[in-house]
Amino acid sequence: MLASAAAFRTLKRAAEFGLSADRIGFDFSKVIDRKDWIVSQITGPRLRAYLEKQGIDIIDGNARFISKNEVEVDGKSISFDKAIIATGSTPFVPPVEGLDDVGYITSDEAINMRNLPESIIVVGGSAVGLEFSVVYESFESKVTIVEAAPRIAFREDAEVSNALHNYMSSRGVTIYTSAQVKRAFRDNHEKALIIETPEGEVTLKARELFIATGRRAVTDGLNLEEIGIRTGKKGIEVNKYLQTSVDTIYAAGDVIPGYQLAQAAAYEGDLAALNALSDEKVEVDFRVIPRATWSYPEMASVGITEEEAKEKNIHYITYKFPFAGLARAFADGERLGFVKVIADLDSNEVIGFHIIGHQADEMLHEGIIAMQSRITVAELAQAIHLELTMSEGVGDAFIDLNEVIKSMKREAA
Amino acid sequence: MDYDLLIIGTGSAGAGAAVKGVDMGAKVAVAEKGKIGGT
Repeated sequence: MLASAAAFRTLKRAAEFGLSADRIGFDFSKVIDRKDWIVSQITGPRLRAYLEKQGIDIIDGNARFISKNEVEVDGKSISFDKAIIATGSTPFVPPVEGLDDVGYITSDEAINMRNLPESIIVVGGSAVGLEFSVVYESFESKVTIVEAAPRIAFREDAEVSNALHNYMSSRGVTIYTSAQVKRAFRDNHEKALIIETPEGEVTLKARELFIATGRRAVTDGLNLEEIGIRTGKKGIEVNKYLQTSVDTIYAAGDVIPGYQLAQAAAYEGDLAALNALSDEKVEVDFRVIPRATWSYPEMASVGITEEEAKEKNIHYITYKFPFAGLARAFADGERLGFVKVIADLDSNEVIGFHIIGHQADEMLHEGIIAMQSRITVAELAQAIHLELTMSEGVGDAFIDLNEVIKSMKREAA
Repeated sequence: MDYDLLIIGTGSAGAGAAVKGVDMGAKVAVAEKGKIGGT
């Protein structure tokens, strides 16, 4: 859906590229068809066949724990030595007066919704809310975002999230931050939402209401309490080995507290299996977990934000390199954004790597490798980067940052 | 025991865990209430 949105945005700018596209348009239902086709190529029968080929038995049905070594799947008892709970999460919808009567969608419905609403209120300005906002905005819906935190994408570095806020606002997306949802009601053909903002109460109206306020762990029907597995507000409690309060049973992914990201889930699943099956256990390590939000422009990050560096009293330095002057950014017509590197001045290592811009997700991998292998800024500055790429900006950031660090150290000496 | 490792769910965490289990030589099963692959 995001790829269709991006293609349509480019189509609308055809003249900039010296092209003519006088009659452009879209069929939103066909955008959904394309998404369905992609999903079918990756999950479902294809994944089933792959797992079966690996020699994994697939049992279809609802599992319910009977004991620490037995589950029942739709009435059939299955015994196990070790188990891993990886039941994931589902959209969390906060209680709001009138919400159920008015009706709303979450990401579960949005991915299948074939009618594009001409206006939409998106409650929640984190990854899910921002990505769908970009889809609707690109197809020319009127989008209003309501965020409870003081800024959208509040987990990202403040400079990055503020930049996104400005880019989206300048395109006509209305964004309210530090805004609390009070009440929903119906107003003829529209859905209305009363929100409390620092400037007072505001009534918003739109054709559709999208709730993107996070996700909650799915543990219904697993019978966890009865067999002694402790759960908290944010999911199943696990120790540093991802083991639950019942020693034979581990948990991984969105069902446990922490990052709710596919790549974090895959890492946790892998580690849970390793720890469940071996005597020597490995502690979970979240030092290098990459994240991306496919907003427009995209945001991708790894490591800590500048706010976190300050909080932890780390002796750090930041360097920001804008993409606007790069040849590739001109050529692709995508000049927004920057890369921001946060380095530890004691170790000279990268501790935070944040990108907002065209192909931020692809460019992030350089920061992931740098952090994983603890490569110093001085070493990174020596790596020759390809010219005529967006990554040229990342290379320039390392070179400039290295010079700044060197001159700081000369002055201090 | 029917299985060395039983996994409930086949999303990113479950599918990853299942493959790792097989790689480690375990007899593995996954239980899934919906579509294989989760989200």
